[in-house]
Amino acid sequence: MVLRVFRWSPGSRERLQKYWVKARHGMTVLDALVELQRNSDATLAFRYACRVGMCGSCAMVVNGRERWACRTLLSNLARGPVTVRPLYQFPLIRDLVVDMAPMKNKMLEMKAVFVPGRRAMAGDEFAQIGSRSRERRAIDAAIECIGCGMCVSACTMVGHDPRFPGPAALTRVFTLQRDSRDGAHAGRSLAVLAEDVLTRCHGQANCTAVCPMEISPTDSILALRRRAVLRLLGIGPR
Amino acid sequence: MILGAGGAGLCAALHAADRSPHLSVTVVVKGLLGRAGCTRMVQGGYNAVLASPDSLDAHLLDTVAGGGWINDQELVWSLVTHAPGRLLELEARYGCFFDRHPDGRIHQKPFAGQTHDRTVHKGDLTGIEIMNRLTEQVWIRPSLRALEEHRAVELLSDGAGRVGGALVLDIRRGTFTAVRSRATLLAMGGGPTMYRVIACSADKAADGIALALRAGAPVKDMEMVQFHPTGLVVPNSLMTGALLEEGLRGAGGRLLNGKGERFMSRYDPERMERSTRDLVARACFTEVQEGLGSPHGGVWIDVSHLGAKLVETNFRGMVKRCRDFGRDLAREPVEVGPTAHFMMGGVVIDPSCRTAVEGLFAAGEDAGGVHGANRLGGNGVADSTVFGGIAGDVMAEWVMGRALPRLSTHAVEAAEARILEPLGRAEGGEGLYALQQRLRDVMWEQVGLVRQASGLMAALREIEDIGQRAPRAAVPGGTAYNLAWQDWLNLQNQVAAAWLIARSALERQESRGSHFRRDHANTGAELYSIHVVGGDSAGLRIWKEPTRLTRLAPEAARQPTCVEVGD
Ligand SMILES: Cc1cc2nc3c(=O)[nH]c(=O)nc-3n(C[C@H](O)[C@H](O)[C@H](O)COP(=O)(O)OP(=O)(O)OC[C@H]3O[C@@H](n4cnc5c(N)ncnc54)[C@H](O)[C@@H]3O)c2cc1C
Ligand code: SF4
Repeated sequence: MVLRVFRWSPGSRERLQKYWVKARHGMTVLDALVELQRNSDATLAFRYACRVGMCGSCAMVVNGRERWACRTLLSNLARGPVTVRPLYQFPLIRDLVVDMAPMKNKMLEMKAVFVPGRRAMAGDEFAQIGSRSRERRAIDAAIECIGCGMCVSACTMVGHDPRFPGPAALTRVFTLQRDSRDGAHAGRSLAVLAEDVLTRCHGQANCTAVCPMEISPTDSILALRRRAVLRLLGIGPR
Repeated sequence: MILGAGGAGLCAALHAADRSPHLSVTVVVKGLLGRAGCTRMVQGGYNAVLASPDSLDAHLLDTVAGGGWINDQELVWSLVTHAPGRLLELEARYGCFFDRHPDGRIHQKPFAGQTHDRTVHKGDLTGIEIMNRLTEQVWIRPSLRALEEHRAVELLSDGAGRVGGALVLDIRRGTFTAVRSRATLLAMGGGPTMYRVIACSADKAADGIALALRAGAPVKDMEMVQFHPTGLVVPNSLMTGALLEEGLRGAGGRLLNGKGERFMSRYDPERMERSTRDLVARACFTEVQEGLGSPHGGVWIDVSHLGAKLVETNFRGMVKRCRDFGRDLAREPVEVGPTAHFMMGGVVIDPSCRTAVEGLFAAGEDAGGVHGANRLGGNGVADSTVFGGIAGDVMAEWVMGRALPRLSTHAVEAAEARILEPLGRAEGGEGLYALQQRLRDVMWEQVGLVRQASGLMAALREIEDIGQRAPRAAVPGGTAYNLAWQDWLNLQNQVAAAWLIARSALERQESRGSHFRRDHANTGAELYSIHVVGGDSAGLRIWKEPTRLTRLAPEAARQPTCVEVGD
């Protein structure tokens, strides 16, 4: 089969390079890239670690859609040549490798990091939030993010407005705002009320469509909006 | 400086930063921060004693009995006494979620080989939760600096026999930095990637073990490599070896060979598929070796008789994993086989994570002694987070009042020159990946689940031959993000660790825990560990170190046998 792979390195022009790979039954996109790199073109650069869908390192755009290379069977793609390019919205490092730092920076701007609340800091007791509680169920639906960046790549608003924090960061904000153990709700509430944050999402749900962990960042953003409105009306949680 | 960023590396960083916020701590990681390595891949969970009737003594006994009685009992005691506190810290300080009962109590599940329900988990993706939360905390601590996609290539000596830092290679740019440091932690997570079929993260290459050996730190128990019986078999794919959880057999799953026989009846007619993990893994391996395997060199696991509905609700993640590869676990047999999972062996440490070399510390899978001859499921992530934290605290204290070491520029230049050598060299001779395949094949065939003297000796010759050729292999391309160059470095470390495994396996003339010798099938009475030290193979020293039974002695009634272990 024909694989068209995006190639770029500092100082050179972007191009799609065409390769022939012997597609064998069971092969994934990642397998094809590894085979190419080992047997035909040692200079091809891409990133992977766990190779079983847990580390979120091998996300790329395959035939126009964000996918995890390690879990995407070639036989599940449409017939014909397969085109592989790096995630959108992230700076390129080399070939299929992008710099994920912008996603981390957005998380930090949104204060999307747990801050132990007063009770937690007392530190001698576990919090008692049952797995079936509404709080936990809401959080569980949004917490298993592998940080792959596919949602960010697929988000048209991220491309349009560089200040928009993007679906992954807002999803993490949502889980923290629902987390009764966290002690920094107020600061985060302010952060998400800034311009270019919640109001910017147009609900296209591209993020939700591509998330390999079946998370819906769209729902998280909607829930954050609801909370913000209730708060502004003075009837909701802080 | 912390080399590696799994559970051990990140806990060490956080503890060092919180203990002494004025220290500057550098974390070096081969991949992206928090995303590479195996802690991330933990599914099953985290062992900690939280409530009676469980007790620290019971956890100690289970771990030592599971480890074939050759564990370092002081390390085990540290593990079991610190685990509950570390778990609380993960939740209360870093914000991890774990599964809970409706009344809010933390949920602990039974894991094989343990006398109580002890294993704390977050669904079947416990590792992702722990690593995500630890990573966030590392980001926000100003005294921590992470060098992502940088690899430690060599430890550097200060000229007086102390480790004074490491030579670090920026994978993206292909440039070197000699990082000076008053205390250096090995937390690179071992990794049995020198085997043909692996469960662990593909970025690991036993780098920590190889670096320690070259720096003169003794290692122990290297022959002890854990194999999991049910890794997925996906021909032509790197997915091969990915775990299908142990619970499938527990729930009544059947193992069938290529001829459709329930072959466990020949190995353990009473317990059948629920026999111990070692035995099942070895049985699968033997069936395949004897030509009774499935078409792609595995065996079949069949759970379809349990009812599709039950399988789909109870094993959702596993069903999804199989479905991605066109297999319907709920309705048809799926091909599985043994897979190399974890290295019990590693650098010799004391309970403060100090190695024998001044300035050098080790924690997590890079260190040996905690798990003895076999690791219990749930003790791995407990080990890395507990000892990582201890190392961070100890190192933060230890550096006080010590001067930043000087490094010899000569040694730095020599190491750089050696590493740059293969680049642009004319091709010819055996290729890098052909050599790596040879290594993986011989390790699998001769140094894997079933071993014997003749095979081990042949393997040592083969490993030595590969070791001679590997440095001479050519690497095309430049220095920046060159995967082949990284694999060239990986291969040499894999060879070093492979040699240690084969050599130690030859030395241990008995079967114990994960180590099975066809020519010495019985477990001996003597309790010892095999230690190896040495800079290069010429100066290697290998010896048996008697186990010190500082807390428990095996009761006469309780034979040191292998017990069943979870993920
Ligand atoms: C599939 C799977 C499932 C498991 N399930 C369980 C379970 O349910 N319960 C349990 O207790 N244990 C489990 N384990 C074992 C557990 O994952 C390990 O015991 C533990 O996580 C090891 O932690 P670590 O910090 O030592 O290493 P790791 O988490 O593997 O981290 C190693 C780090 O070092 C980095 N590194 C490697 N080489 C270099 C280098 N040269 N330079 C810089 N950085 C480097 C890596 O990138 C990575 O960041 C499982 C293991 C696997 C593979
Ligand atoms: S929310 Fe989903 S798509 Fe976005 S980074 Fe997390 S796992 Fe990837």
